[in-house]
Amino acid sequence: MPSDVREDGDPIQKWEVQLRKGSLELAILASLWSGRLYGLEILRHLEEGSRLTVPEGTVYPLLSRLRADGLVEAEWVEGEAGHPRKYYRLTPKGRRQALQMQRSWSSFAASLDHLLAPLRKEKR
Amino acid sequence: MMSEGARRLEDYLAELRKGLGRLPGAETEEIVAEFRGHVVESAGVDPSERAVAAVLDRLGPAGELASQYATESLLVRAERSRSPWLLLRGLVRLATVSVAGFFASLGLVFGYGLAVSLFLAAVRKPIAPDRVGLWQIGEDAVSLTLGWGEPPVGREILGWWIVPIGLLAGVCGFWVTSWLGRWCIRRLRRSPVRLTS
Repeated sequence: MPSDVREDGDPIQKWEVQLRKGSLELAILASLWSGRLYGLEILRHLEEGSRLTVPEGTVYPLLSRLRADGLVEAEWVEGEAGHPRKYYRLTPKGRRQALQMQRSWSSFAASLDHLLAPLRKEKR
Repeated sequence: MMSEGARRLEDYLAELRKGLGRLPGAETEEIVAEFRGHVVESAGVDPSERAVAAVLDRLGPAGELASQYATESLLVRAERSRSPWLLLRGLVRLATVSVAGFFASLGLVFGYGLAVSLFLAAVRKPIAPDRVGLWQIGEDAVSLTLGWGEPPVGREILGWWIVPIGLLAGVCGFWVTSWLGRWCIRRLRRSPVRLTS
């Protein structure tokens, strides 16, 4: 990493935090696309599947908000874990929103990728 | 006998429960149970204090978590409410985390203030006809008086028309302000800026 970026690391970190915040909702909806998951599973899925480091305390209030908006629904399941787990699954509205967000994200990422092409050449 | 790890977890959950105090009891217990499950599963059934502390550290302070839930609950209620007080509380809460929320709460106060003033002017015009009204006090300046104190030096513009216009503008202004307040809360509630880093 160039030294000027390292010295001025704070702005980059802040930018990354904002980027993460902006994409977290889509990341959670995408995690639930294949089926129901409970909170810790969602966190593990985000970390293993995308290497997204998510502050753990952020995910639960966000899940609560998605539930209030009717994008996910939750159910308590008594399982072999010895304690009940709260599973979340996408509602039809949540699936529609996830698809719309995915299309917007893909279109945005492709546009930005195109714009960043000269920078990638510079790096090489 | 309770282990140090278990004691630490119970302290954390007690603080969380305390912070969630204004939420309905069932909702509070559901949130607490979810976090209990998270910690137990992350740290193990009979974990050491260190293991529990590490998990709690990753979750962040209990008070901050509770505040996020309490804010969300307030905003959900405000978004569906017609109560100016609830709308104002919601926007003031948003003002603590975003500039847009600050300006929206100022706008809400101004909107309600103007609507109530116009309505009051309409209601009080028959009581103090010489002192209530809309006055031109300069080239580009007007003043709305409600009959308390002396009227300004200038020309009254609307006369008795202030009654129907004030009633209509007051009611419509109140409605539009409430609608805009709910719209702002809806938009700002879903803003990623509200998430903690």
